[in-house]
Amino acid sequence: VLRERVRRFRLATGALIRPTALPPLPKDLGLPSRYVLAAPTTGQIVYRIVGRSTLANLEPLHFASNLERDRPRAPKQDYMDWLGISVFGTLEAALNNAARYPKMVAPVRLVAGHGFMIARTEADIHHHYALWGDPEDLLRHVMGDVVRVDEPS
Amino acid sequence: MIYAMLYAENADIIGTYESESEALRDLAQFVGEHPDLQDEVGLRPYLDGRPVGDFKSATDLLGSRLAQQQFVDA
Repeated sequence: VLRERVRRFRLATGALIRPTALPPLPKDLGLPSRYVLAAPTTGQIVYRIVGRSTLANLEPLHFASNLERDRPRAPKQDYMDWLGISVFGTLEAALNNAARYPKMVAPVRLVAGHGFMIARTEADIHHHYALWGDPEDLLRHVMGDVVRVDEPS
Repeated sequence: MIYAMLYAENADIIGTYESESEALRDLAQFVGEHPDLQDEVGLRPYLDGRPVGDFKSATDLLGSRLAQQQFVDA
């Protein structure tokens, strides 16, 4: 058991050390699944579904948490989750998770030094991450064009 | 199979459930308290980490129940 934990720890910390790797699930470090393992960002790229907005009319609101949007906390929602937003670690995952088409997906580069924090959350949903950051600052880090999704991929 | 409760606009996941009945119960409670969200919030089934069905709003899933509740509340 110890050897397996050491192996998983090495794998997971290796992922943390790589400059643009996204953080692992808590269970990959042998921690309970309800834990949140948030890491400062180091230049990773994530994908945020931004409704039907184009690059021209993106607003900080598209990167605001449900708390910041005055949306109530859901029955099973942790307080920490209420303060963050959902993003995906791959464009494919973001496209898969979009609903009600057409939809836009914005790539965001999470450069270091802006106070952004990210955690792999919702273990049952591939490539799902919670992201915390100033909505205006996140908007400034949208890179390139938003990607339009017209139908399920 | 799990059921995610989420916002259709941006796929913000606000809960995951191992049973549909539990997810529906919490969804009914949530939109019962916040009826303005009933078209925005809903459920989506996932299998092996991927969506395996369409997003369905609370209105789609609980329509008649919500209407009845609002009638009673009024």
